[in-house]
Amino acid sequence: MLSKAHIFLSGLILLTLSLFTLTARAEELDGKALVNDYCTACHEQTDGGDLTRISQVRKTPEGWDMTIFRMQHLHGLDIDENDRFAIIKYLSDERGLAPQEAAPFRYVLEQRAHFVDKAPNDDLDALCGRCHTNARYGLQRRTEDDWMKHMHFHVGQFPSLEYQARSRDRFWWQEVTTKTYKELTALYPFENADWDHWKTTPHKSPEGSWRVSGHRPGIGDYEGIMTVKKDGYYFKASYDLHNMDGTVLKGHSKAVVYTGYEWRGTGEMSDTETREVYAMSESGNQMQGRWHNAAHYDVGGEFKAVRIKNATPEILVKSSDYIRIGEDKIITLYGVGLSGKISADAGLDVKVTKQTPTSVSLKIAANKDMTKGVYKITMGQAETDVVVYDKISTVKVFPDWTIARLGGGQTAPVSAQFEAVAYMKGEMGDTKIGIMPAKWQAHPFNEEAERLNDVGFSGTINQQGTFMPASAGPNKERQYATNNAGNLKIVAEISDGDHKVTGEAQLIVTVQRWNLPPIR
Amino acid sequence: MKHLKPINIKAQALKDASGDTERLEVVAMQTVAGCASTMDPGWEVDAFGGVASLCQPMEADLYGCSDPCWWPAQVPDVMNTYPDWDGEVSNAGNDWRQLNTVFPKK
Repeated sequence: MLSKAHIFLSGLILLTLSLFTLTARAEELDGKALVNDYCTACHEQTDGGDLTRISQVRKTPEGWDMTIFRMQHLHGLDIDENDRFAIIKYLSDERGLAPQEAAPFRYVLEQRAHFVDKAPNDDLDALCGRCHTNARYGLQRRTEDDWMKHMHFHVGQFPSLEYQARSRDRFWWQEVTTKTYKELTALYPFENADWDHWKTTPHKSPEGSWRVSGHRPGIGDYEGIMTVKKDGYYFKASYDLHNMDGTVLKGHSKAVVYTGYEWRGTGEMSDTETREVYAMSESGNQMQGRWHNAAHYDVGGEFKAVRIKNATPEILVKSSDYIRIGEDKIITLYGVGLSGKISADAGLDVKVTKQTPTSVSLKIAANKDMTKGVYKITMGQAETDVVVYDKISTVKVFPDWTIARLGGGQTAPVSAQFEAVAYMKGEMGDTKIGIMPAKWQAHPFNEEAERLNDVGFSGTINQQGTFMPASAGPNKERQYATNNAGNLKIVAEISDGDHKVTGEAQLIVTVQRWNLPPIR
Repeated sequence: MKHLKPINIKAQALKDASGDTERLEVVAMQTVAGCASTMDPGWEVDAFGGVASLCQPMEADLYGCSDPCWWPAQVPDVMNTYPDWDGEVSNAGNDWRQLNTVFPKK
């Protein structure tokens, strides 16, 4: 199976890329000199100045962080925190990934709780994907010689992989040492044009004012302003944001930009400690990614920022995506450069009630004789769509299959967040209306789950679609004192007048994991 | 069972349970009770896409997973990488709360 949904645990995250522990001294350190000081005791220097292994590899900041951790944990490296940070920064800048190389795998860097992870083929899924996300190796670039050493490292460090499932049915050692390392070299080569280009491109500073928009699953969209100022080696961001219901989200962060575009921030949002993983575009005019609760990676928000100065007019988010036939509604558009005359597709009655360069409130009337469909609204060069619907025909729950993890002791629970998306029947099939409030319930997924009372033991779902798993550990009240695992059917019911429509998802509530590196 | 004769109580119970009226006992005996090289329950999800046939409570055989590095992605392997992970927790069933995660946190 090439695709599988991975849910990987949060826990007491993240660690060394947190900037709280660093002192001002870090910015004065010379990363190259420190690499020579710390690494050459084991890594031989060639005549050309390269260091064995180190100079044949490129990785993300998290990848280098994990490498340094391994050197500390397994090879006795004793290193000061500031020196450690400076080395990760230097190696990420000099031997990082180009934006195009990291782009397919950002879901892992962003610590997402739900994603679909696809291997390039069944062989790599069996050989690498049985333990790792496929992003783990997709976020590395090595020379052919070093990919071969990587195979040797695995059999030395994890010798029992010989008898693991998905090893026993193949001549795996012969395979990885004759074929796989070459395949990985072709897929993820040390040298490529994207990196050559990126390394010689002048990188943009994130300083300035940014128009921000985003979505917090289970809560809704938000918008506002981010202001970034340089602070020595770091950047300081302040956030002035609002949820769509008008409530305030205020926050700040301290960030480092690795490799010219990889923003990693440590901060607070409305009194919750946060981590930020954003990627800045090559133009330096956009940032995109995710921020999350520092202790619970499963709780966070999508993030998109557009530099306000010289921005192309754009609508980033709106207070609602839809209107029902027969309704009047105020919909506010949020974006940049919002000026000019408002116009809408024929049939949609739109009037401006309030306008600034960053927001426009519209009174929209969907008359009873309107035709349902997707209507375009244009303001100057910016445009967006509003869906006019008559009746909800289908509800789909997103994600339709996912995992939550039990928590307790030293490992935090991992919640699961669902959203109910309504659709109407259209000429070309189902047309998406948008996310709507729903009544949420958990049911047994099958007869076995009903017999074992999984619904009663494995956790609860609230009316925001958040499933909070139960406590980890053996439960003497269950058959065989089994864990509070469960196989659940999550049902969302949306009321559309007197008409009720339901959608379903499967939720596996499973046990915790103790191995929590930033790239799993 | 046609050519096998039970010689102890457990084997006799298995023979007795194989009748049509004792289906539930047969199911119970088929439940995977620990990792073995011929069974392969998953860590998160069992072979049937559910959780009923997982090796659970997983604390009962957790050190069978960490000792031979059976699940190195989910459970620290004490064979090579984290030899001290379970050093002070001799009974995982009772003291699982003391088992720490293995990547540094700050």
